[in-house]
Amino acid sequence: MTDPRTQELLNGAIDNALDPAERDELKHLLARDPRAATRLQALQRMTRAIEDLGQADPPADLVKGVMQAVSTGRTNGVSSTEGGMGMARKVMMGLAAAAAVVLGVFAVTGYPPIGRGTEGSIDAAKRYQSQQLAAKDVVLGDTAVQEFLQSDVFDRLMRDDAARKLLSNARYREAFAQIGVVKALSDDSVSLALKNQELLDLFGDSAVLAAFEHAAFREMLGNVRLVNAVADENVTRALAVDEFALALRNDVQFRLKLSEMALNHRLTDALYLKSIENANIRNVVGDAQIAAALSQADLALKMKSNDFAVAITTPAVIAALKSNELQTAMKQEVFANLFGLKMFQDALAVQGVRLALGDPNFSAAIQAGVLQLALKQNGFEQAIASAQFEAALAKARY
Amino acid sequence: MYLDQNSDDSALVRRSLEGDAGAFEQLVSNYQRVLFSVALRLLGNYEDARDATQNAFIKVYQRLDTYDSRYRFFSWIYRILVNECLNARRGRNPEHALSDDHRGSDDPGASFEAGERTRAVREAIVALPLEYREVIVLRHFAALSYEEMAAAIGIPTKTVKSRLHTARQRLLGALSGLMTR
Repeated sequence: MTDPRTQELLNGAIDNALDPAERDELKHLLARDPRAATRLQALQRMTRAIEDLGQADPPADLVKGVMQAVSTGRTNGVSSTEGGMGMARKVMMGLAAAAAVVLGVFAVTGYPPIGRGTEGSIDAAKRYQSQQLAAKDVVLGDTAVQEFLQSDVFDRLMRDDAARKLLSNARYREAFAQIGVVKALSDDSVSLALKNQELLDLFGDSAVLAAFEHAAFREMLGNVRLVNAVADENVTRALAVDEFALALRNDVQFRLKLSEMALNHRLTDALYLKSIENANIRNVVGDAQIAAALSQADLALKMKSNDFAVAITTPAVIAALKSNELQTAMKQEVFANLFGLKMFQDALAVQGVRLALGDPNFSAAIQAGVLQLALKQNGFEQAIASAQFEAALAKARY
Repeated sequence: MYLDQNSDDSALVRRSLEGDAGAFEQLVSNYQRVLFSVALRLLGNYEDARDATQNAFIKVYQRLDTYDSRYRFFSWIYRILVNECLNARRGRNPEHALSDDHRGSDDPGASFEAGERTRAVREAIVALPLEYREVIVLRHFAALSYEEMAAAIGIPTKTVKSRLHTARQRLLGALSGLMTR
């Protein structure tokens, strides 16, 4: 075991990172410590062995492959600013996820495809005869489809056990026959998206595969607007959570709200997903401001509270949730408990009370229990609803 | 130096954002060798390294408008590459690792001993935990300084030095037989 300074000098020598003074120090060290000298020699031999590996020659077609991919993306606004690319990509990913499954099913099973009347065989399909796929089974005439079937992406898809299992499942085939996803194939962006490497990642995701079990998810694939949400990675993860899947299946309004990206962002939070089973919460999460408020970890925790679930149906609480003061106050446990009090919910309707929540003195009073007791008194309800009370709070603040 | 300190990177990025495909192609050409080498040494698999490098460049293009020219271009693209490498590893059967380093296996002039040594070193590097592997790779295959590695990985310089030391200790242990010959 060498001391830290010796280690630093030896590694510095290997990395040619010593200044003149340190080089002198190392010289003296090596002169008086044979073990250090031996260690340095071993490090030098090892470094030579590592660097003898050298840099590797990149594949000859790497630049060409990259430029082909980005030139394809550019036609969809890849270089545009203000997040245009992000949205375009999400749309493409979502459509691609749907389209690729359909194409795969068609290719493997010969299921009646799009483009009837323009049918033609695809030579590329012959490559997959080892998977019981014959050229006659592939009867798609669309150019984009042909390109897809001839692509490396499809090649890899066919070699992937999980993907092949999915594509050969009759249940999925029937499901796709019932939805509008086939329409997506006529979208130009699909043929471009199919070249996206990330497509394969979706198939490798068990949450996505499981989601195909849900009729609601399949319906969503037929809705371009909702595909924005489905393409979101967070939604993909969320689909693995039962409560989320149930809400998705049973609540039309919730499905519509999925297109709110602010909501999608929240889906990384396990507690949030669990809370989705509560219809009261589902009713408000589509609001961007509420979604932003709920994005706080402490609020996410409190959403599990029954009191909060009831309170959140109250317009005053919904309005209050949008205030910075309440969001700050919610970081204290005592406020979460207060949500169960009707008096407190009513009090939140008073702007002065909402503003007061951000006041340290008000907060201290709440924690001391004095105000909590007061909130339970009937007379207090009338008091806090009065203009005088609000004026008094304002005066106290300023 | 494997990697030039290219002062033209910012200009190439700017021209790419203006729609000049040739400028982006130049960036890809400039960095393909070092990025592919880093990916290959991180992953130990030629096909995975090719995919990770290509995907990284595509993401670089997609996110080019987020690049801050105050920072070194390589640091930025390296982080994108590492993410792609991690994705590649997640989707790969581990037993296929180390099976396809074309450079090492296709060298007809290499002696058996040299080939054995090359393979042992390559395997020892890939066997390191990622945090140690990447400092070795960035130091010896991208020739980055401590400060450049710190920026690329997003850790303090002191941590870079510490990781390098530990990585070398581990490699010396793994290659002890080889290093005494």
